[in-house]
Amino acid sequence: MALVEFDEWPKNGVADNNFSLDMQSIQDAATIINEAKRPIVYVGGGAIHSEASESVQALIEKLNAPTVMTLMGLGALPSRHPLSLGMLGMHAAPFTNHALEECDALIALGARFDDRATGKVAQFCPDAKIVHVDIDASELNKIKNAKIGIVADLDDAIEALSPLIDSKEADEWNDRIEQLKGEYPMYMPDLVDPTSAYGIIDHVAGMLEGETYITTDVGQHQMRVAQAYPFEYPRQWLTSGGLGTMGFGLPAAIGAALEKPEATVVCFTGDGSILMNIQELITAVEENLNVKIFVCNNNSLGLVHQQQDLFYEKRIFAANYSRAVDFVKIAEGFQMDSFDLGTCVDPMSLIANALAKPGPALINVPIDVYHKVFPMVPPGGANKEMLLRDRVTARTMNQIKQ
Amino acid sequence: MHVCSLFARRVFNVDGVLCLPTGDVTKSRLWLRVKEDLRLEQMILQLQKLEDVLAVRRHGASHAVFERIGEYFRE
Repeated sequence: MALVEFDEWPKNGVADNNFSLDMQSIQDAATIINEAKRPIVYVGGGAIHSEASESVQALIEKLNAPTVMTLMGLGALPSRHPLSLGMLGMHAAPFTNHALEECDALIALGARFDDRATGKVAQFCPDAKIVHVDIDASELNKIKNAKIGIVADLDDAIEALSPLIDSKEADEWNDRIEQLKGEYPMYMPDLVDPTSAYGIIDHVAGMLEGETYITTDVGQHQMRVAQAYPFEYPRQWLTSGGLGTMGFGLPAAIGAALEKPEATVVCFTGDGSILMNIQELITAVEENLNVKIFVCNNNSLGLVHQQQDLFYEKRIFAANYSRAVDFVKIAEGFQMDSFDLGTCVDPMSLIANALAKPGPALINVPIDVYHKVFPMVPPGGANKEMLLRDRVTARTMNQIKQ
Repeated sequence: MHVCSLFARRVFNVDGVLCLPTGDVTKSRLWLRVKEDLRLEQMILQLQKLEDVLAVRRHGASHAVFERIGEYFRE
């Protein structure tokens, strides 16, 4: 063993700042935006990572432009903001994908046109002129050709763009959006029931106070949280996104709780996902972190089960467990407070107690495996071909296969 | 190196590879002969992102470099 001395820790990395903005492109982008009758702003993870949410929000409000967010962009705009259309793409609310069909200008800020967001690319925003701002030149024109592509830090780009943009009052386009929301609403079954898949998310959100952070693993629970949770600020939402990592939720929640000891960190997870890093329960206990783990337990790999049930003629394979793991017992073994919504008489009190008591807790939430996440755009389909809960029939399946 | 693994993991075939240090000992020049396919633009953009790559230049198919070295590779 040796003893090492040093004066100070090495400095953190500093961002390169050698981007010179192409002012002609900025001007051209402003022209497109000003001439647009039905603009939509498409915000991705880049807005969160570059901490540009404030500028993005100011721009959206100046334009009165309806805004969609990717999975990684959630929180850039509060979910309940009047201009927010929520998440787009594979599990978007029906009105969101319909709105994108009708837009004539798509302003992409820090987003990469991932297939989960676009669906069948040729049919994504088919009539829209695209203005694409990204820090990475290789993302421009990779999936969809942009009318104007701007390589820049988002804050810098918006700073240059904003003075050239005309303020817009709410107009017929905003009315059309409201109309679409009425015609194609988002349906979340059993929201009032705190023991249902959507209900647990809604009730937990309602009961949380103060600073909160939400992490998830991967699967149906993740999609439901993305659809239903009322995010309020950037970096509140921690999920693995395109890297799709089961096992992410608990360690991410631990990290967040270590960094923000005064906050409550909620990890929504699945029975499949929690098994991938379950040993970290002891880390949460040892550090006495405010991590509340809600295990959405359908005793299966839910999203895989859903796909096999819908698109593979119900041939369920390797997505169902034959024995049910007792997560409450496991948590007790790790000396963590544990609760079971399945056997309790008063779910609201149980959830309230679990959230109120400082320190880590695990709450088992039994979910019916046949409850699916809707809407869902079938693989290879266009966003407008999304399946809705009440319209899934054998005929629809056959049509999609063709 | 990073350049070759970038092509390998995207299964973008490289017909010929030449690499030698330049007059400046800290730098090397790498010549790659590839098929001009639709993905080439994106490959060039990805190459430019690599930390070790200082510049990328595209040359026409008729460039002499592989012709001349080619003599040493005849069966």
